[in-house]
This record gives sequence, C-alpha cells and structure tokens, in this order.
Amino acid sequence: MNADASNPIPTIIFFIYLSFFPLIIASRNLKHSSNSQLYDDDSITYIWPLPSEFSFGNQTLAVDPNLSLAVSGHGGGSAIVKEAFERYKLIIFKHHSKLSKFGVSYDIEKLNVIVHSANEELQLGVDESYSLLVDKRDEHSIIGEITIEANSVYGALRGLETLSQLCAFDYGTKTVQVYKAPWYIQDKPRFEYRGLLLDTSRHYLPIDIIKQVIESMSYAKLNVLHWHIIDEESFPLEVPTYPNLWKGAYTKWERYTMEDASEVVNFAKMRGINVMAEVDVPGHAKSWGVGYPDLWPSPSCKEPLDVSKNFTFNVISGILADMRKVFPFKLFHLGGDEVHTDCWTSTPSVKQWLQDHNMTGNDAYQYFVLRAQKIAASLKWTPVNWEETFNTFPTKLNPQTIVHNWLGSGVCPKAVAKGFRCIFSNQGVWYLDHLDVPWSTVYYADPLEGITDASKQKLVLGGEACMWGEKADASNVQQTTWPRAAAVAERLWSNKESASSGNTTLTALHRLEYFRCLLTRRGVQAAPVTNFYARRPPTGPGSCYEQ
Amino acid sequence: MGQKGVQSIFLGLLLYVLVISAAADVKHLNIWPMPKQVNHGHGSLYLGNDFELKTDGSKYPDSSGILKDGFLRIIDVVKATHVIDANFSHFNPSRLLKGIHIVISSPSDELQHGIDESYKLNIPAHGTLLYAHIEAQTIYGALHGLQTFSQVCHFNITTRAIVVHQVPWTIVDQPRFPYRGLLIDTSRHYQPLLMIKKVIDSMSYAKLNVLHWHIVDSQSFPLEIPSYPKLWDGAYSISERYTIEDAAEIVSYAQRRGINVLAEIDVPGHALSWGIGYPSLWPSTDCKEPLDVSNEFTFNLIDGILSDFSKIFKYKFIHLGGDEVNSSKISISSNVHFLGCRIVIFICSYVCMWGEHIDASDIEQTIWPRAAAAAERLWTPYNNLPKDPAQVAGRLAHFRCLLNQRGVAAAPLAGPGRAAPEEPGSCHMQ
Repeated sequence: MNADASNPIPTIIFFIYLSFFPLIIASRNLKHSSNSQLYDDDSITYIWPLPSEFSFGNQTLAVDPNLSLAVSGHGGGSAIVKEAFERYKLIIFKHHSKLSKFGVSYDIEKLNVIVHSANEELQLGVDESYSLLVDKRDEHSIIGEITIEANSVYGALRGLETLSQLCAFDYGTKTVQVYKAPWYIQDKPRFEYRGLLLDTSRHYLPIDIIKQVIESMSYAKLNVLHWHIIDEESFPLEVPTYPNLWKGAYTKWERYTMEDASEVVNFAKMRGINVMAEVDVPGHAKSWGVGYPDLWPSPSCKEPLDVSKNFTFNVISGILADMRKVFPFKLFHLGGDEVHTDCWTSTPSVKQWLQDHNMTGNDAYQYFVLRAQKIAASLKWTPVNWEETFNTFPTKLNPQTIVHNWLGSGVCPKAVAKGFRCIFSNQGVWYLDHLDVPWSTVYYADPLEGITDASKQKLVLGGEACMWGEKADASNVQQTTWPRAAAVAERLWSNKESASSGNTTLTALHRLEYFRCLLTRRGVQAAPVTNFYARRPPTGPGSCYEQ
Repeated sequence: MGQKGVQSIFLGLLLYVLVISAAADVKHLNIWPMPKQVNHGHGSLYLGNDFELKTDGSKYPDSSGILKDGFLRIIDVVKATHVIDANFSHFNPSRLLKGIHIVISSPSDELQHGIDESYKLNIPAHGTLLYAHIEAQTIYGALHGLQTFSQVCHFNITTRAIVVHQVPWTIVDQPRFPYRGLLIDTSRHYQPLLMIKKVIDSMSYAKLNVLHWHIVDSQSFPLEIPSYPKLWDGAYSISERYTIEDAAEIVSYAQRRGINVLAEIDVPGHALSWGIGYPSLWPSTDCKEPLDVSNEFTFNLIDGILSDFSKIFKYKFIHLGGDEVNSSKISISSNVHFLGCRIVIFICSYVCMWGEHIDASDIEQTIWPRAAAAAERLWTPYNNLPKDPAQVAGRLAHFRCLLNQRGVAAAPLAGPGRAAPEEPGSCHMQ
C-alpha cells in the first residue's frame, strides 16, 4: 500500500483495513456463526503473489460478463494477449446467471490493454512488470475502467492474472464484483527465474497433465518449467538423430515425440513460461543404454555414461542438436549430480583409458562435464549444472555456468562469491517430494540468505521448487505440488519486505488458504494447506478456507 | 560387450514387445467396460485429417448439438495424447477411415431412467470411402458408441497418426443395469463446479450414467433454495455455494453426456446445517438433529425444497436419505406424492464417494480407478465378466493409463485407494 505523501486517503483506508483484521480473524474461527458469513470473502481481496505496490479503496464495482477488450501499443495486437483474454474470461465468469441483462448497467464494461513493445521473444529477464488500474469512469476519473499497461506481452499476462484474482462472484447479486476499488497496482517480480521442476522419467506424465501443471504455474506467476525429461529409469523423449534412445521408455505409449515437446514449449510460451530442458550427464543416465548398450561401461555396470568413448559425446551432441530446434530458452541444464565413478575405475577398458590420460575418476568427471558444456556452448546455450560440479571443480567450470543449488544451504553464497550465477533449490526447504516440509518452512526460506553484498545478490537468478517423480505420477503430482509451490512463488515474486512484514504467519496463512481455494475452483487439485504432511486428504469435513 | 550382449538385449526387447502386444488380443481387450458382444480382425486403418461426422438417414435432428459436441469431444480426447504429424500422402488411401456415420432411430433427446442405451459399432476393414458405423435407438446409445470408438483409436508412434487396429470391428453392446451410479458428497467438502464437471467427464469414459448428488448434510448446506433463501446460510462460507443456475448447469452438462443427476435431500437425519438459516427446524438449540417432526414448518420447507428441485432436476427419482436417524419412524411419503416424484427404495448399485476426507484435491484419485471396476460390473453381462483376476488387472491398468492420458488423476492399482505410486515405473505396471 504505497501512499503518495501528500494524499492521506490511502493511509486512512489502510488503517481502516487494518482495524477490520482482528474481526475477520475472529470470525474465521467460528464454525457456524451467521455473521461470519458476512466477512468471508466479502470485504477482503487476496492477491497471490502479493504485488510490489498497490493501493485500494472501499468501492464495490460490478463487472460486465460481456467485458470487451481494447488493445493498443505496438504489442497490443498480439495473439498471446487475445488468447489470454479469452482464457481469463472463462475463469472470471464461471457461474452462469439467468438474471436479465437488460437495463443492468455495469460499472466496468471494458478492459484496456496497452503493450508497448511488439517483441514477443520470451527469455530470461524479459520485462514482466505491469500496472493495473481499476476504476469506475466518472467525471473525476480520467482512467476509465480497467487498464493494464505493460512493456511486454508477458507483463500484460501477469496483469491479467492479477485482475482475475481481484474479481469475485457475488452470490447475492449473482454478478462478478471487484471489491475495494479503485485499485492502483504497480508490480514486477523480485527474481527473474521462478521455476518448477517436473520429472517425467521416474513416471511418465501425459501431455495433458503437463499442460495442467503449466496452466496452474501461470496462476502463481511462476515462469520457468525445468523439464527433467530423462533419468536412469526411463528415456521417454524422441531423438531423431539417435532413434533407438527412446527404446529406454517404459513402454511405447509412454513417450514424447519431438512435436509433443514443441507443443509443450508453445503452450508454455502462451502463458509466459519458459521451458528449460535437462539432459543429466554423466550420471542418472542408465536408460540411455537400452537403445545403445555401448554407452554403458559394461552390461553389469551401467552408470555413469562411458567417458572413454567418443561415441558417448557424439550421442550427447546429437541429442542437444535435436533439442536445439525445440527449446529456444537460452539456458540448458546438463545435470552433473550424484556421479559415482566406480564403474569407470573398475571396468577394464575405461580404467585403461583413465590411465592413458592420467586421470582419476574425479578428473574424468570434470572432463566429462566440461566437454558436455562445450557442446552446449557451441549451440549457443548457457549451461546450468547441479552444485556438485561447482563443489568439486569450481575453478574449471565454464564461467558462464549457472550453479543449481540443491544439497543444502550456504551454496549460493559461495557460488556468487566466485562470480557464478546461482539458482536456489535447497532440498531441505524446496524439494516438494519431501512430504514433511510444511508450507511455512517453504515460505520462509530465502534464496538470498547469507548474501549481504548487493552486487553479489544480483547473481542469484532466483529459485525453483522441485517435484521429483519417484512417488509422484499423474494421479498425485498436482496435489503434491500445490499449495507449497505457491509459497515458493510468492517468495520469488514479492518484495522481501512486504512478504515478511507484520504478523505474517497469520496473514500469509489466510492468504494462502484463500489462494489454495482459488486453485481448486480453477480445477487444480491443491491439497489442504494446514496438513503437516503434503498431499494428504483433509482430516475431516470443513470449509476449504480452514483446511 | 559385443555380439552376445547385443543379441540378448534384442531378444529381451522382442519378448517385451510381444508381451505388450499380446495385451491387445481377444481375452485382453482394452475396452472398458467390456462390451456385450465383440468381434474383430487383424487389419489397421488410420484416421484422416478431416475425420468427419455423417448423419444421413438418422432421425435425430440434434437441435441442441449434443451429438456434434459429443463427436468433437471424442476427437479431441483421441488427439490429445500426442501431436499428429503424419505425412498423409504416404499412406495407403484404401486404409483411410474418413469418418463416422451415425444413425439414430429416435428423434427424442429425453434422458430418463431406463432409456435405450444400446448401440452397434461397425468398423470395416477395406473398401472405398470407409466410414465407421454407429447405430443406436437414442442419442445416448450413440454417445456410448462414440466412447467405445475412442477406446479403439491409438496414436501410432511410427506413423504419427491415429490408427484403429484389429479391424473389422463388430460390436453389439448394451448395459446390464439401467442404473450405474456414482455418489458425490458436496456437503462435507465443497466441490467447485469445475471439479464436478471433471468428475462427470470421467464418468462418461466408464459409461456410468447416474450422478447421485448428495448435496447437503449436517456439516454444510451449499445449495440455493429460492423458496427458503436463508437455507444456504448453512454453507461453510459465502463462496462455497451453488446457485440455482450452477445446479442447472451441472444437470445440463451431465445430460449432454448421457448422465442423469439424482439429487439427494437427506431427511430427517444428517440435516443439522438446515437450522443455521431457520433455527426453528431444530428440535432445540442443544439438540439439532433430526429435523423437528412436530413442526409443520419442517414439512412446508421440505415441500419448498422439492418444488424448487423439480424445476432443476429432471430425473424421475429423488433421493430422500432417511439414513442414520436416531429416533422413531417418520413417514414423509404422503407429503411428497403430489409432486409426481416416484420414491423408490433402492438397492445400492453404485459407488459412494463420501466426502469426509475427500475435497477438490483428492476426489479424482479416490474415485478412479476403483469406480471403473464397479462400472464394468454394472455394464457388462455377467457371462462376459472376466473370471481371471490376472486378465482384469491388465485391462484395468490399461484403462487407468487411458484415464491419465485424458488428464484424469486416476491412482495406481497397487495398494489401498488413492495411494501414491511406491516407486518409479511404467503406468501399466503400477
């Protein structure tokens, strides 16, 4: 709530709002008091993630279900904007009303979207800022009805999402309302990399499910899908240059064609979400040998990939070259985690190769990672690697490397101290497959912990929630991901101060419960917030807003 | 490693492929539920780009678009699994399936208990201008035929097109029982509209045809009753409610998929939430269940509810609950006869999805795949039901994976209901 120093009204309104809070909290604890119904959702608007600057009033405005769209600016004519508008109209106007529309005048009938730039390239660091103004047109206001203004189409998408969260269906009048108007919102993300990892190797996820996940990411303004496509259990992706690779899929049906992958990338782009593919080498690659057994050091020792053969690197080149046509995101994840070199040092042919090249197992690990990085760099990709590579040979890594922390805390501080960029995914707090991490632990983690120098803080690109698939498949991936991924989303989008100030545990909990119910109303199977263990059923009957 | 290694791997793969393709023979037919009579061959056809719907000779006018929408939905669901990227000019034109020809005898789209849901599905193997044929008495039989058709279509990973294997197909099918239901409970937890619609969609995949909507109970009263507008003050919160238009929308959405909606208003027990808006319904303020039998107002209110219901719910049955009543007999049938509803005591032939521990986050994986087992028992003739559990497991696993492909969060077969998968693995093995 940013008040212009000379205008006291927003401050007064803020204090009125603040004084209502205890009443609202008290009323939430009453199971069945007739008055509590009046407070629930009636006078409070929750936006998740919290915008960086906003002010509001005390008016209630009715929105026309035939809301029209007017676009302007060089990027206004974009198909991305038009499609998003249609999508959000379905979300906002979900309830049908048979009430006669004749003679009903709505306060808001038009949405203006102004997009300054015609450039639709989606990359890391694209301008996602926007301003959102909601006001009734009258003689005093020059603003008009709803206006979203942004530099890029992706900022406009973020603005549309916020707008959809300001709108609520009023069961009394059976119309869609915006409460606490007028709204003046200026918003932009704290971090440019706000990711979610999906693992389609431990369990194949059908395209439809991946799309559901991407759609739900857009509701929380997450913007990178880290697609961990392949691992030791299965190789589901088509690689035209090496067509036997996907024999490593679980079955012929549990596969993605190149066109399927393009479809996913395009679906994500329409929502302003980048797709970062990962080809994890040299460990976590047992499935590669199902189609090409030469890649295994030996039939009884199948991981890591055989470092002694040029064939191994030809295959990696082929995979990356094929994927270059499908994944335009500038970052490419090369894995490099959990490499146990026993199969190299014990298999005679590889052992010989190591001796010939005067390498220990660890030297070979370094050699492998660096050679893979060179292949990615030749395809104009910036490599991302799991932190073990940094921990083991920091001085040898390609200086452009982005270090992906996962093993614990304290890693990003070390990486940025050496000038590397970093992504935060500390498994103690942001690994979603760890079911015993409650929402508050997720929420209070911070990617910048331990880094005080402002210039070093800039090197932390952001963070990522990781939804590993050992025990998550199409039947439960969404309720394992949500609502905890929302806690990550706000930590990465909202200003540290506004997300952490005041009695945040109570405020954040109520806001997260509200957001979780919003997700379920949009068809996302988000689990109860207050359960200690993730993805458990609700403990008993009750309102969505209290579970 | 050498030759021997390569050979043994190749043989292993071959065996694996054979085992998987064996899943497609007669005993392991991957159609769920199993039709009454099925015959098929060994040929293949592919679906063309402009796969179309023909209705020449059909008596059903489709003025409300139920058939057209049903056809488009089936095509979408079949195409959603992978991107079609076939080079059609390379295909043999005599193997092209141009469309589906549907002939319906009855012009009526009235959906009720006991309507004719039978259909015949024929897919030829060769000829010129190939069309699949569905013949049905009613539009709802035709929708079942389209559903079966969607289950014999598969994406072919080599040609990147949708193919139908094992043509020619001759299927004559009809359900064993006219009432094949699923109960959902929206009182213990509010289920958003979108979730209910997803459940309805998934019911149609298993040919279930009655949604028993247990709308209200002790914990909450989420439905708008225009005659008694304070009743929905008993909802958990202002937004955990269904307007009367929401209810009509559910009925319409279901009807367009051949699914009846059986509304339940459980009386006199399980009705604590009614008194939030009308406290005189409670026997007393410390004894709130069952509804006060001595008060004429109670029965006026029930009349009001049933009267409002009759404008929305078209099914000829209505469920009046009557369970777990902690007091002596109550006779209410005399009060409701005049509305023309039939009240029948049912033998429960459906699946009940009670909502104490089910909300929007876990309803799909609690229902599926177990409800599919019931669905087959209610659809397939007794003699056709597979007797060997091993046969069923394979087919049910396949149906579960089909549900996942269609975006339904159906749980693994292994373990108790809605269990997480124990470990990494193929969908077909869990």
